[in-house]
Amino acid sequence: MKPNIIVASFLFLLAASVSNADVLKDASDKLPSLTERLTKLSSGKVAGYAKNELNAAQTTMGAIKAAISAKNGVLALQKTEIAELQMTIAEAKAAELESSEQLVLRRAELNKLDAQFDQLLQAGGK
Amino acid sequence: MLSYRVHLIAIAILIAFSSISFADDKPDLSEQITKTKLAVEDLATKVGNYPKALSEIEKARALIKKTDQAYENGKQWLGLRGLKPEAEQEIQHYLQMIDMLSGMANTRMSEGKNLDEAVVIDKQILLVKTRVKLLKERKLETEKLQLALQKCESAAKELTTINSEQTKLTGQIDQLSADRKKLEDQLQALKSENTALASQLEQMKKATSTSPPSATPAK
Repeated sequence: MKPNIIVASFLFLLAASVSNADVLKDASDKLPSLTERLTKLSSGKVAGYAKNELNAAQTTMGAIKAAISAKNGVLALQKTEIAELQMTIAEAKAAELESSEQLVLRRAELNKLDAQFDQLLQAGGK
Repeated sequence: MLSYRVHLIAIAILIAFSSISFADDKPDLSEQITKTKLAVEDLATKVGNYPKALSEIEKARALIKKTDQAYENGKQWLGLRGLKPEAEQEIQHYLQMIDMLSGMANTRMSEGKNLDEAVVIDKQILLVKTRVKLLKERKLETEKLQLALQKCESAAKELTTINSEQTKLTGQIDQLSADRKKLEDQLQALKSENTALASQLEQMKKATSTSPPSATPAK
């Protein structure tokens, strides 16, 4: 009976170790593409709109590397998900702010045209 | 034997209470999950019909399902001893992701609203531009007409002056015609008188040549 328990425990530990190694590999594999994406975002217009979000993603990238170094696969993978989301949030924030700016410009254009229209209307009435 | 069983039951009760007490000290994840679910559903009613925002809500809902699953799978001793540490970590991770997705849904909604408003403003801009163009064209047309009117007024003034001068000249012509007629009459009268005088002179010459010359010429 005892040998069976030992074998089962060994198999369980082995499975857990293999699973952690897989997860760790997944996280490590994702790291280059995440780094590339962050570099692109940091050098593009997103940086102008969502600096805080990109800084947060940068911090998370550090946490991923730390988790990989600590061989904590689950944490590393979770942090990659967080980093991906933070970058998407940065893009969304940039898109929102850009649309806000465009809206301000459009409103200004409309106000200018309204003023021009009123001026022409008054001039025509005289 | 009885005493042994009582001891066992007492130890089990102590362990159970200590577990419950231990579980209570930790953040109540069940409560957090419920609050998150309510918050996501509340947000779903507020984000409107913006596809991008709704997509984030759907992602959050999918993560809520995963959170529930992790919570159920992570229970120890039918929940009496709280959750496994790895399950807690997983749940905290999902809750963080859901919170971030909720924030992103708000961002997407704002972007959607901005884009919708931009479409409305673009239509207004087009409309006002058309009106402005029309008014500008009318203004140009009005200016042209005013210029033409000014020319007409000037021409009318000139015509009035010309008419006045013509009337004056006509009067002068009439006067000159009358004077001419008078002078022609006078000339005719003078011609007649001249003819008569010439005739008289002729007769007098004839008479002088036929009568004898007088002894003494008249002085």
